[in-house]
Amino acid sequence: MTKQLLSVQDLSIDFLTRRGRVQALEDVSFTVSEGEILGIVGESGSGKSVLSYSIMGLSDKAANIRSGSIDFRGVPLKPEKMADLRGREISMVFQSPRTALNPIRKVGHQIEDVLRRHTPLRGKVLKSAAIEALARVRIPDPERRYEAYPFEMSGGMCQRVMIAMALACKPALLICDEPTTGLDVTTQAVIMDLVRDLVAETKMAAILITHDLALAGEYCDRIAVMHAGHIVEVAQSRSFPNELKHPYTERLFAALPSAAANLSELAIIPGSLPDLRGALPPCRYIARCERAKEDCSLGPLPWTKIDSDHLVRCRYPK
Amino acid sequence: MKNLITARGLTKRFSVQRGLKTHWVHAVDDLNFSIGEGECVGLVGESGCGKTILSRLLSRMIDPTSGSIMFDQVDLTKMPTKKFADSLHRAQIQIVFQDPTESLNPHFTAFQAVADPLRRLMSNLSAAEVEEKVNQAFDDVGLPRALGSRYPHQLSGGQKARIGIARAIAVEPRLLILDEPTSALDVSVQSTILRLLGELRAKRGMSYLFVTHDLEVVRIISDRILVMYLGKIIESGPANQVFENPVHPYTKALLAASPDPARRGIKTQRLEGSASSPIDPDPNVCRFAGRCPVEMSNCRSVMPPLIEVEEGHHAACHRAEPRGAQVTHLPSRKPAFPNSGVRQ
Ligand SMILES: Nc1ncnc2c1ncn2[C@@H]1O[C@H](COP(=O)(O)OP(=O)(O)OP(=O)(O)O)[C@@H](O)[C@H]1O
Ligand SMILES: Nc1ncnc2c1ncn2[C@@H]1O[C@H](COP(=O)(O)OP(=O)(O)O)[C@@H](O)[C@H]1O
Ligand code: SF4
Ligand code: SF4
Ligand SMILES: [Mg+2]
Ligand SMILES: [Mg+2]
Repeated sequence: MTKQLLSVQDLSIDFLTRRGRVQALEDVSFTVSEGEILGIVGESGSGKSVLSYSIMGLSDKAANIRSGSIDFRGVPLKPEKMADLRGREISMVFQSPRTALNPIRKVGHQIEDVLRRHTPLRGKVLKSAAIEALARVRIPDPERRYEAYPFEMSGGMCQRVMIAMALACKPALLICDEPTTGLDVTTQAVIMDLVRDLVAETKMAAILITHDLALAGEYCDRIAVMHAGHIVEVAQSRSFPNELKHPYTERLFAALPSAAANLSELAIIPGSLPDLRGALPPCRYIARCERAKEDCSLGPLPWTKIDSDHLVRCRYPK
Repeated sequence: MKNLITARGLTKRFSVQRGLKTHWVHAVDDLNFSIGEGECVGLVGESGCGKTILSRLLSRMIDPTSGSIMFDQVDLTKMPTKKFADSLHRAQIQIVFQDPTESLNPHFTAFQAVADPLRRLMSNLSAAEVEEKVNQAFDDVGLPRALGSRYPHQLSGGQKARIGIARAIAVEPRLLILDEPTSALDVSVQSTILRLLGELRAKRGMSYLFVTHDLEVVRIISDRILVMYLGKIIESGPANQVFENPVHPYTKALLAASPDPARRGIKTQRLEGSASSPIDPDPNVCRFAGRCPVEMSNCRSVMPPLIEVEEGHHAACHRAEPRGAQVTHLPSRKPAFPNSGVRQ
């Protein structure tokens, strides 16, 4: 039996800005279990990063958690406890490794900084733990790399160092926000294989945030699809793309070049994300939806349970 | 199909100073290929392999070190950059840049961004004609004309990408070079842009050079594919043949690395490491040697030439065999043209 590690329930987050209240997340719910990789996919601006930052307790000052809860190991995550959990129990890998690493500090020392903050390790033991962390992400010649500066390494190597830092304290949950965007596909495959193998070896849980549906399909056990601050569908990866029920998910997959034999088969998703300021209809996909009926704009939007692992937020699932 | 543009021996080197010695970055090395009228050619390869430099050479933004570019029976390389800028050809070869945010002038509205090349390259147009052509280009790329008064920071990534394309097609080019036009875009925007490019091609018979590192995108949009590695074309051929019968180990590795849900839970052989240095590479060593999973002893003494493996399908690898004569266990052998890849 796999144990549930993280549970997000009915999370709604607003940003108070001068130009209005941005309703970035509304009633977002999902769980992640040990040894599982959950994919979160969606268009730019759909709320993927806001969600991951809120789990990390790193939300912007303007963020207002309107409702909902985030439980970790069955206990609510408290903002004042986050500084201690972050990096130790819950770690994050950010999109651009070069900006996340300190360019003028040896990578070995940057890993030691993380270890020093969360463990009693000091001196020689600290150094060997840092080298071990580099070895764990299969960096060749970790003793030599310990002495390297970020600018001496390729983008793929920097991303491995980021993962090594994130994993240094053996966290229970690893959040990867677009970890391979901007890297070559060959490098991406190596990095993602590494994440998958580490999850399998250590039974940690991972959340993979990406706008690449094929990538999520290859590496995740379950996938949650976001649209305009809502999760619109969650299902086992193997249900993708054939058993999808939400009209947006269906379109999103049909718009992948790999799904089409030729250009004329490639689907287009009409319209764009709605402006998240101001009044929004219960279903935020309604203006783009070819299935929309009158009652879609009435009352709160129900979750439809297709089976125990497959939920869809639509009045007229296929 | 008639060739629109043909490159012969196209080479670009950059000098770098290390101490007292001058070294050379071989960014683009002895490329030979052509693009037919109305043909879409996909160019793939990893970051730094020379795709952008090649795009800039073809659009005459930079001078080649050597080689020729024939366009309509004219050798463009014989024309100084300045003269090219004033020539008729300037409008006929247009390029859309990698990053829509960086390539748009922040002080130009969307309308001005599209009108600017029209005014510069088609100076005989009246103001009314420019306006009409701008509007037409907005319509062609599916941008509401009302967005014309907006500045880049007021537009989404997808809208900016469309403006980049609109300004390139407004001057009615015959060759459109797109340098990773969709790599920063969502699937939703990407599919719209790809469909749009397909429609423009059908309507205008334009030729494309489509640069990307996304193989699925290349498969769906291109007739033919060029695969580059460290400045060289290492495989080329009809898109379906390259996809179904990849010959070069690097092309195979690229295909194996392209994310695929069908491979979930399956361990796949991956390509480790990164390309070797483009500075003064040994002309007698295969550029893929050192990273190649099936390297042989002669790979480090003889540069493999591009040979034809099936009709119109070429690969540069000592293990490549013409189809039909294929053997599974390959003894090391002399390449068919031992000298063609070796140059000083
Ligand atoms: N600090 C903030 N103030 C106001 N609005 C914000 C803030 N941060 C995010 N938003 C808004 O919240 C929404 C979700 O943003 P988010 O960054 O989570 O998108 P994303 O799904 O991660 O997109 P991408 O794929 O581009 O990274 C967007 O409409 C964004 O503009
Ligand atoms: N101005 C320059 N001076 C020296 N080297 C350069 C210059 N521009 C590009 N290069 C090098 O040429 C090679 C090809 O670059 P580029 O065409 O930009 O690659 P990509 O395939 O990613 O578009 C790289 O090794 C790059 O570092
Ligand atoms: S609830 Fe209605 S409008 Fe919304 S996605 Fe479902 S069918 Fe479309
Ligand atoms: S020539 Fe040799 S090293 Fe180069 S790709 Fe072929 S087998 Fe590999
Ligand atoms: Mg994000
Ligand atoms: Mg480039």
